[in-house]
Amino acid sequence: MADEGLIAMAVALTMALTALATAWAEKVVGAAAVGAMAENEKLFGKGIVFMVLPETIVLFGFAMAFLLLGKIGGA
Amino acid sequence: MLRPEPMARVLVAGPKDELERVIESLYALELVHLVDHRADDPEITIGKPLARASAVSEDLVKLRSIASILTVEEAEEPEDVAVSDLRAQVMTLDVNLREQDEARKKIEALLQDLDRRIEGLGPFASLGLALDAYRGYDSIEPVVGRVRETVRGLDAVAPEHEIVQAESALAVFVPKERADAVREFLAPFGFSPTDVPEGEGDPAELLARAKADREKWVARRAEVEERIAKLRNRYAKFVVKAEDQLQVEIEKAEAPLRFATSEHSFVIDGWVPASRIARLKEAFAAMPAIYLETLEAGHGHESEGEKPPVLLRNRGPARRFEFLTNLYSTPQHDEADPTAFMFLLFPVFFGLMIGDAGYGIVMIILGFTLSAKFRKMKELSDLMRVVLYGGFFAYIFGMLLYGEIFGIPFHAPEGSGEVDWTAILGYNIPYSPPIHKLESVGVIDLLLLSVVASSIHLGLGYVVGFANEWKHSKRHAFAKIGWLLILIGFLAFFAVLARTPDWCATSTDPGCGIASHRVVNQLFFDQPPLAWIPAEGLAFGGMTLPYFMLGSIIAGAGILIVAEPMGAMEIISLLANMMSYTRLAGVAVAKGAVALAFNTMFLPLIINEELFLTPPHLVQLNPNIAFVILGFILMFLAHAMVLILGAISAGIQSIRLNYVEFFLKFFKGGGILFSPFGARKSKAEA
Repeated sequence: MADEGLIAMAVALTMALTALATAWAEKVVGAAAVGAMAENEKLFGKGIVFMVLPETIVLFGFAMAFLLLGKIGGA
Repeated sequence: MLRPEPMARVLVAGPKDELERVIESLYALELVHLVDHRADDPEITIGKPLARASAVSEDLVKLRSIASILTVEEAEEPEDVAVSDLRAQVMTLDVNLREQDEARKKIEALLQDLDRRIEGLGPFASLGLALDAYRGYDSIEPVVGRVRETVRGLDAVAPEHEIVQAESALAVFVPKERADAVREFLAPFGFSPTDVPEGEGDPAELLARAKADREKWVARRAEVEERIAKLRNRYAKFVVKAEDQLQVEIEKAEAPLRFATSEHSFVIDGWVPASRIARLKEAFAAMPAIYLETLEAGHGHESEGEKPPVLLRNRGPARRFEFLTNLYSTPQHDEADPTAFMFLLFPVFFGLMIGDAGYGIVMIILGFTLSAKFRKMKELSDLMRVVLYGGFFAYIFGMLLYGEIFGIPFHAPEGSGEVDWTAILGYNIPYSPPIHKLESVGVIDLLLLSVVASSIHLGLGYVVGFANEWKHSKRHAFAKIGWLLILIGFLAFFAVLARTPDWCATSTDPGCGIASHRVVNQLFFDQPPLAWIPAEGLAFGGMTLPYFMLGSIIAGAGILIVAEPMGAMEIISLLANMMSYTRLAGVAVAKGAVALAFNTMFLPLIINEELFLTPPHLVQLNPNIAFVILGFILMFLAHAMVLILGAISAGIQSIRLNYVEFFLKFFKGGGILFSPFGARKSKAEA
């Protein structure tokens, strides 16, 4: 039983921390991308690409969290 | 369709006296993408603009100043106005308008003066002394100004003084030598000195006169403005149309700046879509003096900086996706145009993430009406079309895969206490959709589907990459094969992991049932060719790595080490690319959860909750009609929000999968968009 609580905590931490990391990274990239776009509107496409790159971090988190969730008995 | 339109190089040469006719017909044809001539030969120089260029640009400057006075905006709907004898009309309008504009400026300057005078006279009028009373003293100085509070105790600094005070104004007459001390004394009362205005007599009378003057001039200004407004009403359309026409004229008149000319002849260099050469030849057949030479692309004319421009040629609905490709970058002339793949897969990904029949229908309707409404704004209209196709797949998946309309499932899970369509309609929907987004079985199914989607998408990327590279470098082309083998290896791992094991055929283990019922198993993992992959493998860290997978990855890595050594170090990044497709599952689940949350909050307002919670779980309207109305309003707002946010996030995620994961496998971009001479349609025609 105690393990289940720990696993649930781990799931929450995984999601929260990866989301934070993504947000942090996107903040930096997003600001720079908007700055670049102000100079040259054609950079929108490339800007989006760089902007959403860090999302992979939270997706890893999502996948890991989900695998962890599976370890809680029968969930 | 997968390649941009082939281009042919074209040279048009002729004597200079034919130049104007040639420009006219090229402009009308809209077929030739001009290549600017660079003057590095003293004999063959850049051409001079046509004679009328300077006159036309003068007119254009005038017209623009007219437009700014009339505050005519470009968005003005231009109607068909006769613009014959443009020059004379512009001149007349210019003279007419300039007169009014100058009158307006004069009146405005006058009004400013009057405002200042009224402001200056204010305090003196309230003091009541004639203006003469402030002037002509030898030993006395008047200290006049505005003041915030009543002044007392002036005796302390100036024993001899005369003071006149009114509300907020003050005049003190003191001996000259005391004046500075008095000013200092007055400062704490909020005193600010004022000059005595010009003129003689009673300031109140002067003030009244100034105010009357002001009113008169305000009325004058209104008259002038009315006249300008009348001119605006009458000429706004003409101005827009004329500006347009003049721009066309200028473009034509200045075109020779892009041509090569010698003393008596000219040469125009450009690109034409190869399929339209005949049309061009036909147009110039009537001009015997003109010599036309065409060269197919790829005949040594592609030195750096002379790459042909790129005209994408997708047919039908795929055309609408070209802007998404161009948003990233225009393809090179000799590489595959990924628009067709975007057209095939973007809406599918989008639909998987939205996955709700209700939202799908709304998107289809919105996409259809808005794309028709914004027909004039091409990109917006195209975007709405993309939403339409995405909505179509959202509808399909919503009906068949998820069984969900506006976040309400066809059948809620047993004992969940959720409202479902079966209860609402009182009719047991005979179709039971295979995936429930918010149950772990459903999520695993979605995650595995993401793996399949990634393999298909990335695999396609490598195949296209192979085709692209084949012409340039066989080595790089083989590297794509290496990557493809590694991708197949990873897919094999997931396939063996997820498929229904063989021993399930004779077992009643509940896990077998779950696995074999997964959509992804029925469609892919339990079907050939994925089912053929032998399960035998190497036990490693609690997992079994199939020999097939190991073999495929090692073979792929081997090819990579030979063909692209740096790439070999990034093999694991391919796994990260595959993981990236789990966003399909992630967004779908998140959207489903948000919709469910709103339904849980607001549905109890609409339905009779008590009745629903007790068997036989009937759904009826809440007897309190006010709650029902409130509930519907809140539901509408909440779902509108989920729809818009969902469309944005699904759109961005879906475009990202294309731009980052897919395009980077083969796409270079950086091509020059084909923009033929004359294609700048005047707004009236567009």
